[in-house]
Amino acid sequence: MTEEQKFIEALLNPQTQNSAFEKLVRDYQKPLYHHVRNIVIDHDDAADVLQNTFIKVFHYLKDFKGESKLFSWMYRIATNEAITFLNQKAKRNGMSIELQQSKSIDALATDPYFDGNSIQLKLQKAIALLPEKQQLVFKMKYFEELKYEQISEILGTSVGALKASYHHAVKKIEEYLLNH
Amino acid sequence: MKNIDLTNAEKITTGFLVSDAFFEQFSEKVLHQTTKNSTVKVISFHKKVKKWSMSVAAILVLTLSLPVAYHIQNNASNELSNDEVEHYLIHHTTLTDDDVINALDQKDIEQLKVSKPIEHNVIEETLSTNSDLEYYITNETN
Repeated sequence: MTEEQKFIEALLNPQTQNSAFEKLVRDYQKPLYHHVRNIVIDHDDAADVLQNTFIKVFHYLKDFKGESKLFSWMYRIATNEAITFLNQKAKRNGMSIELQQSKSIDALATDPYFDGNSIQLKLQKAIALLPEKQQLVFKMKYFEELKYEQISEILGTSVGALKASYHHAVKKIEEYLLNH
Repeated sequence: MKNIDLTNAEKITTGFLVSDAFFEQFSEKVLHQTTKNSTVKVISFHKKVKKWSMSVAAILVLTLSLPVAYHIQNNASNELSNDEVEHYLIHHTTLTDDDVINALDQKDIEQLKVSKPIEHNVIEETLSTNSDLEYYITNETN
């Protein structure tokens, strides 16, 4: 039995579930936070989405069949929660998701949870111009340094398609940074 | 500005800040909501909103319909139909035709003309059979 399988057993066993879940939170809160933050941009929004993610993970543990890695399953939940959050926020504010994203990035300039320079801000703006899926692929590869195989399991897209998507994203961003 | 090569150049980080204290507090908060309250139920926000809005709609319908129902009830009980009045006058009163006629004013007579148009043959028959009419016509014109 692999380490992952033993850990999943501990998570599903009522006797050991609480301590195992505590370990899960402590191990994954930072990488999942950064993954969510990359999508929603704002720190407070990221905190809310991350909380919802872990609550859902805890609630649906009993339904986790181990067909994918625990890591992929959690990242998938986090990704869906973040995108749903963005859509709902845009709808609440009566604007398109693109406009909502643009406003969030503009707000970074005065955000206490952002100490980036003009290049970093420009990079965020360039990424925001990409199609939604391409944004995800770029962020997960470039910022989070996930492997294509991991991204493939999370997004349900083939490795080949992901490589092509990333390549196009990089070209578009480089062009934007050159011209702005 | 020179060409930017994202693949080979030094990585541009996000610039996002977060403190370690945040993660300490965060994990405590999440664990309190999950493992310490193991019966936490994820209730769909939309289900809650739907239930709430249905209750509000039901209360509104009841609130609006009660005064309308009361008004209809009141009006129905206060007003008598013409048939009911006629029936009472015919069967439950000691009033004579003369009493009824004397109670009518010009306005009532005009209204009767409109609501109850009398055919000519009925007028002729009444004139020929009622001997008092000549008296009334003569005295009224005087």
